[in-house]
Amino acid sequence: MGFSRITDFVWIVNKALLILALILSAFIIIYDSVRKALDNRSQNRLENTKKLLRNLARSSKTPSKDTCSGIINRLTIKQIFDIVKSDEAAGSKEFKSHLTSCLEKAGKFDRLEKIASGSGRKWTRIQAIMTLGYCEIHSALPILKDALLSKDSDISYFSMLALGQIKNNMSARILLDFLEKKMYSGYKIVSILESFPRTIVKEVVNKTGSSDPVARFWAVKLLTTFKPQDHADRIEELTRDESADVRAASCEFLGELKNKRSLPPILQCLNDSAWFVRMRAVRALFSLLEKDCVSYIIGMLNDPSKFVKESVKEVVIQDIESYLPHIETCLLTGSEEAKKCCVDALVDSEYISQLLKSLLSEHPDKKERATALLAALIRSDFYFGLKKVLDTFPGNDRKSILEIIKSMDSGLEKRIR
Amino acid sequence: MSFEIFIAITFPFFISYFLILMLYYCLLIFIGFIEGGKRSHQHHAEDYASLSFSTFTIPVSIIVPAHNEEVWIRDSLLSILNLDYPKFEVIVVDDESTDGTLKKIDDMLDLDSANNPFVDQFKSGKISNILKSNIHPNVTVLSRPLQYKEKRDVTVISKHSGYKKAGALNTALNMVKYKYVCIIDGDTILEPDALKKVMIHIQKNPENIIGIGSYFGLVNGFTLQDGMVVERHFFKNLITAYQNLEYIRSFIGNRIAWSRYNCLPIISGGFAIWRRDVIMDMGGFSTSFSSEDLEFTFRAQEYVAKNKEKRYRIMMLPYYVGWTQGPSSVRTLIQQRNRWQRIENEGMWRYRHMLLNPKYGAFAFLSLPYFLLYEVLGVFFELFSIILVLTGALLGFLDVKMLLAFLTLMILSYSLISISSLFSFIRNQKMFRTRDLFFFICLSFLESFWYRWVLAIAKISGTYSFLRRVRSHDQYLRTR
Repeated sequence: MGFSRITDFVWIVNKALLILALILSAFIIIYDSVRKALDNRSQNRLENTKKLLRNLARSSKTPSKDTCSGIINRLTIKQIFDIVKSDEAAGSKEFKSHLTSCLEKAGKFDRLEKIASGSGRKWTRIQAIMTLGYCEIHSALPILKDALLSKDSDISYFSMLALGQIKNNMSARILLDFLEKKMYSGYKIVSILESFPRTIVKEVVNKTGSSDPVARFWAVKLLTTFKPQDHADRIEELTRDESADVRAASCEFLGELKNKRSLPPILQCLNDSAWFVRMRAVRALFSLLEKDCVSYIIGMLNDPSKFVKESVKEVVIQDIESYLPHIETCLLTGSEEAKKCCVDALVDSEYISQLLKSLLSEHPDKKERATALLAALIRSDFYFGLKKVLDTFPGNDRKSILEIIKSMDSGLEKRIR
Repeated sequence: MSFEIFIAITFPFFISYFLILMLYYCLLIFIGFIEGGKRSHQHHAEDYASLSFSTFTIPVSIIVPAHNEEVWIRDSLLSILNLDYPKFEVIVVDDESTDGTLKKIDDMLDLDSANNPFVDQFKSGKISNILKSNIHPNVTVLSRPLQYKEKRDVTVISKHSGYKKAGALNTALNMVKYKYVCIIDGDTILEPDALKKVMIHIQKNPENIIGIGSYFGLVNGFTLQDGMVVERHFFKNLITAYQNLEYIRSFIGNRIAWSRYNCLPIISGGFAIWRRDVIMDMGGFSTSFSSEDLEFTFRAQEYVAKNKEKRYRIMMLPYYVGWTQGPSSVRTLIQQRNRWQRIENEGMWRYRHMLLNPKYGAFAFLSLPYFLLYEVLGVFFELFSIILVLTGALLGFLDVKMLLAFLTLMILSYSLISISSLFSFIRNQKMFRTRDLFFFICLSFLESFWYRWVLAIAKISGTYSFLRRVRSHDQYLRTR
């Protein structure tokens, strides 16, 4: 009896679920069809609007208020945003100019600013914010600055993007100050600022004096993309900054500038306590001095950090022949890690084949140097692909080289044979 | 105790179990619906073009482990090389392939032996060659283990090292240059904007986001041209059509909601991006499990909890980033789901200490209980209910009307869950034609008549294999 009542109840629930499922299914189909139709209509409207704006641009006549109102007033905020963001607006200054002019004449910017200041509907507000940004409305800067500090992460984020479209000193200052809020990663903010004109360099240099080391760090990273020669002094000072990240970024900047006057501070960074500062210093030295940096950096092969050694290796590979005497010394007297680094450098630069060819050289000096280097390589006990390279040599040459190897290490020669 | 009394005692237990599951799914779908809507708005307003031009765009290392992928590897690699992203490298691991995978890659990329020194930090197994592409300098191929002779006669050494996909990933990790690592399968076809859609979120917050995934579907039946999807056909094969529906339910219905509360239990290995330093800190991928993706995500959640002060996040996005091959027959489906059940059991067993442990936050209270009760123990409930029904029928106690009522309840409940997930999906993605939608809705109603029972068989066999300590990473035969 009890089960019978439960069964009846379940059947009632089933009927309700079935009706709900059928209604939802019908709703989905209708929703999808209607949405597609509306999207098509919206798309057509956008295309027509773009066409009218294109014609306006071509006619080179100043459009009247009525003309503009006729074009713009039938568009929603979302549609206006779609047009300002479109490839056409991005690609054609004329098109964008006429679009902006039309929006202004139609009185749309007042409405957009009002929405951007605080509309109930969040995403409409964001669309208004972005539109103001894309149209580079300078008078909207205070609104965007306020929105940047919104508690809503989306409003804040898109205000940041909108400010990034305006690209003047004021918006740069706002974004640089925003670095210190740490609401978003410095990567994002500097990637926006990177596309600003060089006129913002002074603002960025000012930011290098911030009390926040993260802000200083990103300011220096940003300056590296602008490479302002006349601010090298300031960055040289920052090689002594309390933050290791700032010191590293400063070395990178000075390396990019390629100004030999900056040599002393970079050399100082070779002795820095932080491995990544030393690593950057190595790279900066190579950038500055190229081949001539060998005497400064070769000692870094004994650096405790494998990353610093790697960076030395990368430099050595660029011009392996210049570094051969140092490599040989390192193979004989260096630490295990330093030796490995030297072996890697020879292998990565594909020098082993040339080394073996030099063993067959008719110049006694060349042959002697090659023999000494090969002996040092074999004694290091690290794998360097000897057999594989040797297999590429023709029969007689291979035999001759094996004879030389035999005199150094008969066991190795047997294994190769 | 008579059978009727037995039913009276167990019945409320089963019905409660079922109702809790349905309520849980409804909650997840609701949260996923809201979160998906937000992501859709973000996607529409986002400025993706800036990624293409900025020197601060975070570069990515893409790892492609390929074991016997000669059917798909060309399209997969072409789709990667077609990516609209400014800076990335590709490391392909030809993982003990016994077919023409390496030859296909060579034909496409013109490989040459590079002979770079290789330091194996993970004991991932021997590699026989490091090859570089002459056409695409950012592509490296690691061959393990395969003899690659001078004149490009490929000699295949058939050897089962037991390192599985995890081993291949670890091999590639030894060569990875960049901070973020994107892992895909050898049969994954990426959309050109896949990396952009995902990395733009990482770029907002690289200090906190350590792992991110996104939706991908099944490529079976699609028309491809040079690594790009030209036409989508979702219904050429019924088995894959059901799987597409399942993926929508899982990705959009469940994972988006879990991501919202930072308790995502899995980022699928078909497309996953992880921060390299975190992978290294965690010791790489484990070769001890039937699959590496679920176990790694569980371990990553443990890592997140252990580093609470760093506020790490593991996210899932609802954007479609690509397509992968799925099983197209019942046999291969069971084979795949057998392995999935095994990894669920293995993961749950290995990380049982996290269950309901406040130290592990939302993961311990929202995700793991679901996993235990429904993914791991669910198979026992299903088996038990089948036994109960059969026993009742044999003993003549079975009330057919009651049985039909509850079966109908089950069918309609699951259908509603699927249809709701479908709605959540189409609200933000304009991928389906209206007739595709209609077919998916029909499948939602029909799923419980046979597809779910096939999965139940696979789950039962997977659990049995787990108890027998089977840990193999079986790959079903690739077809087109």
